[in-house]
Amino acid sequence: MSTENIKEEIRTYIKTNIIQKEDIFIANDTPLISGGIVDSISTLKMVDFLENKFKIEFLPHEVDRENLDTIDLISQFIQSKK
Amino acid sequence: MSKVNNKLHSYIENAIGRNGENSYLITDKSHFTYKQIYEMAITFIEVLIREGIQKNDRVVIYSSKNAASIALMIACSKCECIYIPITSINPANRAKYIIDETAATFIACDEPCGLELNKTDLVLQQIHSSEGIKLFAQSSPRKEYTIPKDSGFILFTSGSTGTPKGVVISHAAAIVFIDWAAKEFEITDQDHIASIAPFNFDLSVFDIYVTAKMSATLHLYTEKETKNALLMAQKISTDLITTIYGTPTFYSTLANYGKLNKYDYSSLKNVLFAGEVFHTENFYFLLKHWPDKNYANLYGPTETNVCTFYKLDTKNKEYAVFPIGKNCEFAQLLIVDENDNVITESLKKGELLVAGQSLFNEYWNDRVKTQSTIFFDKNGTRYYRTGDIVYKDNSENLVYVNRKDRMIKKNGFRIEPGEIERVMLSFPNVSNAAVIFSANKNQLICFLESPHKTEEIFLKLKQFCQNHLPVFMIPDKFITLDAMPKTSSGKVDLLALDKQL
Repeated sequence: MSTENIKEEIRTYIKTNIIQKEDIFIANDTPLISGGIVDSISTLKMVDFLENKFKIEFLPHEVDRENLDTIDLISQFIQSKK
Repeated sequence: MSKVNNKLHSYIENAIGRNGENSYLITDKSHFTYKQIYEMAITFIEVLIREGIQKNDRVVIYSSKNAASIALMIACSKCECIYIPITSINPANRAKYIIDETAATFIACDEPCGLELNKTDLVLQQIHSSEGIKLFAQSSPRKEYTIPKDSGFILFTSGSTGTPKGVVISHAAAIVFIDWAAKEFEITDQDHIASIAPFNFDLSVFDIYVTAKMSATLHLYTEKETKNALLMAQKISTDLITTIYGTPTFYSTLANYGKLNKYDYSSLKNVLFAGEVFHTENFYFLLKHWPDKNYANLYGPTETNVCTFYKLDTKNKEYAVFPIGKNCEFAQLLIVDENDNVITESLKKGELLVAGQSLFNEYWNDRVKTQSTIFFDKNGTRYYRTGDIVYKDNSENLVYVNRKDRMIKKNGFRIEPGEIERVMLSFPNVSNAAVIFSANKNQLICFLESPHKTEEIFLKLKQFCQNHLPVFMIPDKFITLDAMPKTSSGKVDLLALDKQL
């Protein structure tokens, strides 16, 4: 899957499952956790989604803002795991 | 026999008398014996005395969970002053409000909280720095308050008038609970207790002091760590935790996302929960992973601490709802109807009132509010009105039904919608705000009277909330309306809003 496709998958997930609004613009660098958009339980749900979708596994300490705060960071993390 | 405890710091002193080399606190980075924490406390006392601390001064501790915060609590107890824990989940604006409201003379911060607080208009002068904590003195002159005797600490909770309110708790009230809990759950010096709750939450009183009373060991997990279910699932196993006191949300999240089947939990004995209703569906999911543990439901608002409890019998009973049980030995209970007539029959609903030594002293500097929550029976016994509607089942166990007022319990946190609404009114172009709770979705829904569409301002709203509200109060959903529905008396029609969902 291309980087662009990965980012689109994540964006779609956030819009439909977390914000539940299709018409809000989430950029690749919109802060998700520090911007208050994704709370702690949504973070865990998203990790669950990412693990299944991209066939990767998060180590416990990797569930962190450093890897999850923007679509860019999440996509980089997924690619580093592949 | 150890001597009778009459102040919270005696628990640590007695633990040192038994053996100062026992491990008291374990954090991600290091571990501390009882003696080391006490020595840290002595250093803080020397600084505070040098800076002229007086009896009943307020000391705000605004920090992530760490060992130095506990040392400072012990120092405050020894100096006969009052500590106020505010955890890092609170934005600096809310911390500043509490500092102003209590006219705190000293403020302790870890590095990140100190930086945030410095962005407010507080004038802070640094007087000390050690163990990852900076101590600041406030330059404004002392204010005089009448402070009830034996006041030990203040826990701030959400206030219905829109600002946080401080629950002033005495040493004696905390101690009666600590002594009871240590005995009831048979804690010993072999126990490893998990500190899950933030220090401004009354569950932490159990963690910090029951541990010390029994010379046990407390594992401090930071606010960031406890949110990460995958990490907590691992730590509870590898740290050989024996006792956890957490919220149902904490346990449900652990069971749902923690991958509990990867680890061994044979050390774990006691699983205590409080703060909100544990939905049985979530509970039984947890039970699959953790069979054969001692489960107990503890009940009590911050104003009374735990006053009833129920030990689950998971072997022989299938529960549809968990009772809050019977009174702790130090608490007396009454159920009353709307006219304050005592209800004695089973199954009849009424408000729960609580009396006994665990009762709070007062709401900080608010006599009117304090009095409005107190009921005296004909013998002059002082009861606290919990606002919780309960009934007694056929086995004399109390069952919680709902709230008498608008207070919301979400993830174990107590939230007054008024506090969120007041903050939302300061968002540009918002002329009215109403917050309701969707219990089945576990979501806070915020209605705003605004000319903008929700989509246009959504990201700004979220960021605004992040800066002005503690994380647990941030609405999950915003809905903007041209005009709020009103009742005939001109108030926001909450029922009509509820129907819109």
